[in-house]
Amino acid sequence: MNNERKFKIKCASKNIVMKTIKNNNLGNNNTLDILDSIQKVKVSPFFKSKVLNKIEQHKEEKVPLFPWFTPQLQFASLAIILCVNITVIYYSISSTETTEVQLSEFETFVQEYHLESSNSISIN
Amino acid sequence: MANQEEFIEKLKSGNQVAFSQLLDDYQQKVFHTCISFVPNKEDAEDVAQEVFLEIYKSVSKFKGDSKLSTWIYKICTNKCLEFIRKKNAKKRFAFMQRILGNEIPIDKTNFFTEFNHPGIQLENKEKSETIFLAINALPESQRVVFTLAKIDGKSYQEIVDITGKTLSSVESIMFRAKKNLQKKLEFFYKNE
Repeated sequence: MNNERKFKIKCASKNIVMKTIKNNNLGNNNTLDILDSIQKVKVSPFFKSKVLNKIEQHKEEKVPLFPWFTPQLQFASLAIILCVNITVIYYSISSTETTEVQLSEFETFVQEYHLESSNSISIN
Repeated sequence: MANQEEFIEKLKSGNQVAFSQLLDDYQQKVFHTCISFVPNKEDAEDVAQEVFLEIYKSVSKFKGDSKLSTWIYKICTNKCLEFIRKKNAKKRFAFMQRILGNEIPIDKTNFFTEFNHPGIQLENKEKSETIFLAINALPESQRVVFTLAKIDGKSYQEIVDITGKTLSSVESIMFRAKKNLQKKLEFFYKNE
C-alpha cells in the first residue's frame, strides 16, 4: 500500500515536471512567434532631406591634399628622418675624430724618420 | 539590366537625381533592416543615414559583382553590427567607470540601446525585449542570419548573397541560432 502511494506520488511529480518543460517550450515558441507579428515601421518623412544634408556637409568638408598620408605614416616617416639624421651626425663626428688621430700618427711618423721637407729657402 | 548598369554609372558620376531616386527606392528597406538589428527608431534612423552616406562615398568602388540591392544590404548589415559593437563597448566602459568609482548612470539591462520599436504592440513589448536581448547574446554570424531571416523577413537566397555564405551554411547557422535562442530563453524563464 505504502509502495503504491509512493509510486503514485512519483508519477504525479514526473507529470508536473513534464508539463512545466512542455509549457516552457510552448512559451519559447510563442515568444518566437511574436517576431512574426512585428509591424512595418515607416521611416520619418524628413529622412531623405536629412541624408541629403549630411551628404552636402560631407562635400563641404575639406579634402586633404594627400589623403594616403595618414597620421600613422606621418609619424613613421618622421621617425625614419630622425633616425637617419642621428646616424649621419654620429658618423660625421666619429669620422672627424679618426682623421685627427690619423693626422697625428702621420706627423709622428714623419718626425721619427726625418721626412720633413724644409720650407725654408736659403738665399745665398 | 542595362537600365540598372546605366543607373549605377549615373550614381558613380555623382548624379544627384540618380542618388535621389536611390533614396526613394531604398530608404524604407534600409531603415527596416536597420530597425531589425537596432530596435530603437532614432538609433536605426541614424544608422540608416550612415548607410546612405557610405553608399554615396563608396559607390565609385562598386564593381557590379553582385546586385546593387545586395551591396546596399551588405553595407547596412555591417553598419548595424559596427553600431552595436560600439554601443556594447561604451556600456562596458561605463561599467568599468562605475566599478572604479566614477559614477555614470547605467541602464537596467545590458542591452546596447533603449528598446523602442514602434512596430511592436504594447502587450508583446516585454516578450519582444527578452527575445532581442537573447538575440544580442548570440554569436555574430548566428545573430546576423537570424535577424535577417526572422525579423527582417529576407529569404535564405538573399541572406546567402548578403553574407557570402553557402545555402547549407546559412541553414545550419539558422538551426544553431534557433537552438541557442531556445536555450537562452529557457534559461531566462527558469531564472525569472
